[in-house]
Amino acid sequence: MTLYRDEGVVLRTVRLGEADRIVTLATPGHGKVRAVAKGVRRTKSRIGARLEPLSHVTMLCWHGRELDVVTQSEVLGSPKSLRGDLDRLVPAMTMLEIVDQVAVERQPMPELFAMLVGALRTLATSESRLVLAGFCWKLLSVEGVAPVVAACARCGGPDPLVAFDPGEGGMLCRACRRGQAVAAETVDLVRRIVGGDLRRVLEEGPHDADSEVERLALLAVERHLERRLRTTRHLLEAGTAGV
Amino acid sequence: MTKEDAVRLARAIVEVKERTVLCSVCFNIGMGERCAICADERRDGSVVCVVEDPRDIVAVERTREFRGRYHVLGGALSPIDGIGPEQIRVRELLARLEPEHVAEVILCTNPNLEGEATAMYLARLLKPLGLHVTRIASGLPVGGDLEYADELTLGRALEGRREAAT
Ligand SMILES: [Zn+2]
Ligand SMILES: [Zn+2]
Repeated sequence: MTLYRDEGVVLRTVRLGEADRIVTLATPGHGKVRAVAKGVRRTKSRIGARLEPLSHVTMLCWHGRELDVVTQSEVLGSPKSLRGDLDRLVPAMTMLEIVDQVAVERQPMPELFAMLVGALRTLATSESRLVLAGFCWKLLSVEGVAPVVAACARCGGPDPLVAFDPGEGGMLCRACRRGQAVAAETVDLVRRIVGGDLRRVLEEGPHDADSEVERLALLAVERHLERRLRTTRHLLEAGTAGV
Repeated sequence: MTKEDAVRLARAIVEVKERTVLCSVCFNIGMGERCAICADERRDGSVVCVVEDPRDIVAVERTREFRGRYHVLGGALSPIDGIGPEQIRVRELLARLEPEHVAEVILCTNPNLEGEATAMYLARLLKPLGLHVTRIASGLPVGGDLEYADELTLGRALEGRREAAT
């Protein structure tokens, strides 16, 4: 067995026996890591608070055949404002769910990891509703399936683009339109996000098209993952639609 | 232990197991249709303490701070693991509110991320119904499990409960 050190963001934890947990983390150097953390369910355990979903930690682990074992961990960040506000927590949990789907064990992912840490940090302070959407659009680019937004995804024709279809891989012109109809502002916002202007988009305050941009981003990610996102389906409508 | 003792013990365990059922009101573990707490007329039915697991009831009862009734969700929200509101007993909780004249709901889920998410979700659901919705105070170590909290800490957390965040 060998020891290694890495950073990580905790994606999820499950109970193991009386007081232990299996912790799944996204790490830059080792991809998705599954590791046993001993004794963390006891309320007196100090390692427990560190290995909660959303925590950004450094850790020292033993490489195991099936599971690694966490021997030390220290918190780098665990934004309180995410935990105390459902409107921030749901997007944060959605990001964890997406990364859990795309991360691969033992496959380094420095770019995706940096994006996740940055997005969680932004989510903790930003008033914009587009942090999750921004994360999704940029993730698709990192995954090599950036949406086609510069011209019609089907015929290459120019503006106005009036629809979005994840199956076609992007925005569509009037002649080719299918899928979801979209507002001009939505096309503009997605263009700016994909084009590297996310920071300014987030600083601008609410846009009329924010919820549409978010909905399309989630649709596109679901198409890429080939599955529904459980977090948003279960919780995003909380309180507005009821159970 | 003699062989006869062992057989007797095994029979006793089987018997307890067979007689143990979930309370039809609060889903606590009990011996009959209603658990001992739901059957106790002296308990205050207007206050319901929502917990994740029957073992959490044992922990809260140890504090001797609480004289109301309980509701066991049977878990906490964890969408990434496929556990949404339909997988825990949210509907059953809503169905109890009117017939039992519930006025206050104390959200006593674990002080970890899933427990916090569950508490905020329930608060958002319950507050518009005009209920007083409170959350046990912090002071419980983050990331721990309620059932391992000592009764002093948990008692204080219950006493110091505050308006639930949504
Ligand atoms: Zn076209
Ligand atoms: Zn009962």
